[in-house]
Parts: sequence; C-alpha cells; structure tokens
Amino acid sequence: MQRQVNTYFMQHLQALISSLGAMWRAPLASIMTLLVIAIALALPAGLYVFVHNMQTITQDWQSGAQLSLFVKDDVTDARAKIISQEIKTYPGVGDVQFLTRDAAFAEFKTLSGFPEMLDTLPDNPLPAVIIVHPTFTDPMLLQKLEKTLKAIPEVALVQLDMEWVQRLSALLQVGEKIVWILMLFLCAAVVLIIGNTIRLAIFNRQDEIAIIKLVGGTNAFIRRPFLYTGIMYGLFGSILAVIMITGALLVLGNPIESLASAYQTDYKILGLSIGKGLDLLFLGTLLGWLGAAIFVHYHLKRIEP
Amino acid sequence: MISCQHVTKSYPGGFTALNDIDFELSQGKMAFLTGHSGAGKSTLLRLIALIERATRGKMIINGFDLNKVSGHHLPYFRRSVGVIFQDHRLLMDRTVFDNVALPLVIAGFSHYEIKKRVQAALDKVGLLNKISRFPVALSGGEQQRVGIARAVVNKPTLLLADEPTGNLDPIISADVMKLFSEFNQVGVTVLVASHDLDLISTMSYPVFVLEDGRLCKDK
Ligand SMILES: Nc1ncnc2c1ncn2[C@@H]1O[C@H](COP(=O)(O)OP(=O)(O)OP(=O)(O)O)[C@@H](O)[C@H]1O
Ligand SMILES: [Mg+2]
Repeated sequence: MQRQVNTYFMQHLQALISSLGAMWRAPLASIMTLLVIAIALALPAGLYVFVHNMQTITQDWQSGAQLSLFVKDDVTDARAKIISQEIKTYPGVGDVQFLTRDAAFAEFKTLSGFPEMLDTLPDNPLPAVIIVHPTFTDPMLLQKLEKTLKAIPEVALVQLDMEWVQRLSALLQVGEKIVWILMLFLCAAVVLIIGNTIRLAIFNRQDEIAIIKLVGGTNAFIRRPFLYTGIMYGLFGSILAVIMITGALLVLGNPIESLASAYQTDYKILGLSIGKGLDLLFLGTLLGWLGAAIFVHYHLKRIEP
Repeated sequence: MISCQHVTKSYPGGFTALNDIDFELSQGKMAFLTGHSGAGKSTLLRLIALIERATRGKMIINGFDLNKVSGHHLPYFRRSVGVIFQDHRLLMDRTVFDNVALPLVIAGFSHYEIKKRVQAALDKVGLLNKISRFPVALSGGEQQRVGIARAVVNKPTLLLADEPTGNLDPIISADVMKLFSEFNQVGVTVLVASHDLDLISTMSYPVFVLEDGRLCKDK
C-alpha cells in the first residue's frame, strides 16, 4: 500500500518534471505561448479592474444623491412638515430635511448673491422643499423611491439630480457584462491555445507514445505529462497576467491619482485584490488543465502502436 | 502460454495474412516460427502481443482471453509479454538506460530497483559499457540488443522476438539465441520468428513453418 502511494506520487512528480523539462527545452515557443495566454487572461481581468474602479468612484458620487420634493403652493407649512415626517418612515429613507417657503427663500437669498434685489419681490416665488437623503445608491431603487414620492398628492415635483451618474452607472453595468462575455470568449481562447500546444506536443512525440503503449503504458500514464503541461501553461500564464495588470496599475496609478487630486477628490486606485488575483490563478490553471484534458483525450485515441 | 484456435487475420481490402491458424505453445516452452518473407510471421506475433486484433478465432495468451482484453486491461496484458521488434522501436532521443528503464518506469518501480534491473539486463546483453549512449550512436546489432534488454527487464512470462538476429553477425546471432534459451531455462515462454534456418537447425527447439498465412506441419 505504502509502496503504491509512493509510486503514484513519484509518477506524478516525474510527469510534472518532464512537462517542465519540455517547456524549458523550447524556451522561445514556451514564452510565446505563455505570453498569449497571459494577454488573453489579462485583458478581461484588467477591464474588470477598470470597471470596478469606475463603479467605486460613481458610488462615491451617488452617496451624495438626494431627492428634492417641491410642495404644492396651497399646502400649509404645518401639513408639509407632517408629510416630511411621514416620508422619514419610508423604507430606504435616511435623513429628511424640511425647508418652509420662507426658509427656502432665505437660503436662496444667501446663495444667490444679490439678497437686496430679491427683497424687492412682492411675493415669495419659491415653494416649500422636502429634501430626502436615501440610504442606498442603486439607481433602480432611487427611481422606485422617486415614483413613490411623486405619488404623494401634496407634492408637485420630485427632482433627482443624479441622472448622468445614473447613466454612467448603467453604462458600467453594461461594461461589467461585457467583461464577463469577453472573459468567456477569452477563456475559450485560452483552452484552444493550450489545446493546440498540446496537440503539437503530442504530434512531436507520437513515436514515443506508440512505444510507451507497446510496452504497457496505461492511458493515464501517457496523459499525465500532457495534463501537467497544460496546468503549468495555465498557471504560469495567469501569474504573468497578474504581473501585467499590477505593472499597468503601477504605471497608471500616479497619473490617475494626481488627476483625482486636481478634482479635489482623494481617490486611491484599486488594484487586483489578493482574492481576485488567486481567482485568476485558479481560473488559468483550470483552463490549462481543461484544454489539455480535452485535446489529449481526443488525440491520444488516434495513436495506436 | 500461447493457444490459438482458428485464428484468421484479414486486412482491409481483403488480403488474408493469416488463415485459420491453430497453434499451441505451453508455458515454459521455446519454439521458432519461420517461413518466407511475407508469410505472416510478424503478423502472428502482433496478434499474440495484441498490437493488432485477429479477425476471427480464439486466442488465450498468458491466461488472458484476447477477445476479452479491452482498453483498461490492455496495458497490463502487454506488461506480461516482452516483445522484440523487427525494427527495434527504440526512443531515439533517450539514452540506452532510459530506453531499457521504460517498462519499469511505467510499472512504477522505485529508482533503486530500476537502476539495478536495467544494469542487470544490459549486462546480460553485453551493453553495460554503452549505458549512457543514445541509440543513434549504436550499431544495428547493438540497438537490437537494447531492444532485447528492454523486453526482458520487466521479467515477462512470455517473450516474443521478431527477427532478433536480422542485423547480427553469425557469432553474435548465436549469442543472442543462447540468451533466449537462457531466458527459457528460467521459465520464460519464448517464441522467436526468424528465417535464419542455419542457426535454427543448430538448436533443438520445435519449429513452426508459416506459408502464405497457413501453418504447415511443424518439423
Ligand atoms: N497493415 C497491413 N495491411 C495490409 N497488409 C498487411 C499489413 N501488414 C502486413 N500485411 C501483409 O501481410 C503479409 C504478412 O506480413 P508479415 O509482416 O507478417 O510477414 P513476415 O512473415 O513477417 O515477413 P518478413 O519475413 O519479411 O518480416 C504480407 O504479405 C504483408 O504485405
Ligand atoms: Mg516480419
């Protein structure tokens, strides 16, 4: 039993070493393949990092989102105040401010910069305003809240000033979907690249494979080095992809941060988290194995001694 | 042990290489297989080693019913048979050591055991001094003997040799044949295909003669 376990372990180690050896003996071809795999993986992963950063930025902007409710003229301040207190109990509503017509006028006067002129107006032209701060930033929910608030009979108008942020956010959601689709296509590309590499390796060694079959090599034995080759290509390719993304962020990080500080925001660029980086390595390795497994299965069947 | 009953091998296109062969070789025996070129000697050996399958007939080799040996069991059957090929079939980019070690590596022997057995096998065929050479740096006869070492290194119970003295001078040929009878003496069943009739006649083993795919009366 112990001997069998040792044998099993030794054969895996041999297969691993032999696959690394084969890669090492053809360095140029190996590096080219690795680069192609790395680029195919880095592209969607890099795009993911970009979209993720943009989402974080727009979320910061959205946290300032507020809805302004203009109260109808014939509603008394007392009634409007009661409504504002009711709104406070709505789900998703955080803070609610109520500005009476007079308060709104006073605020407008200070903000407008020419208070004396406004004093000459015979009437206060401004409505009372209820300012609602939602607890969430999701555009969909914001729109739903806007609808609910519009349905209050005393409210004349609801204004959500964040439309362009919303659009950007919707765009980013599309971007996220594109990342996933791209990911899918490029994963298929990685499988095919590795499959093709394996196909060539099998082709180059078909005499050897035939001889191994002749002297009693099992299919598992013959497959093993090729599977390890696929796994190694996937693993090294994804490590290279992580390095590429990290490198790109190092290059881009400074300009972006100084750009952000020019806009008075203090934005720290988000890199690939360790978790996501490990995900990428895992994905790459899995794809490598998959590509090798599919193609080895297909091609080995055709080689008979 | 070899037992063939009504074995026929037809190739696509209708050519019948072996026709209704009945053939027995009990465990521990040695025999020669001879016949003109194209008579079907290699074909019969390929069927016995299950490199090809018979079109018809029943074959029991080493206790395996070949009609029932399928994908998963095939490698294990092949390990019980050592084959020496007419064209050597060595790995040209591996050393003599690696070539001979191959069946042991496949079977999962330890490093120590592999080294010991490979050296013993190469010693037996007189090639211990060429252990780290590549096959291209060997003569045809030496390559043939590497093939013999590889066939016996795993201690198979049946040894098949296809024209093992084809490239050898008479003296080495006689040595190789002596080697086979030595293997036979330790209990290995041996079947040697050869048309070196002179050499065969010096040895007292049964001879089976193939003629156009039919087995004639043995001598
Ligand atoms: N794959 C094949 N397809 C068609 N015919 C074949 C095939 N293999 C062998 N044959 C035919 O079967 C016959 C027997 O071939 P085989 O190789 O067994 O002869 P042999 O007795 O070993 O001859 P030699 O002494 O020259 O090695 C030959 O006529 C050959 O042409
Ligand atoms: Mg032949």
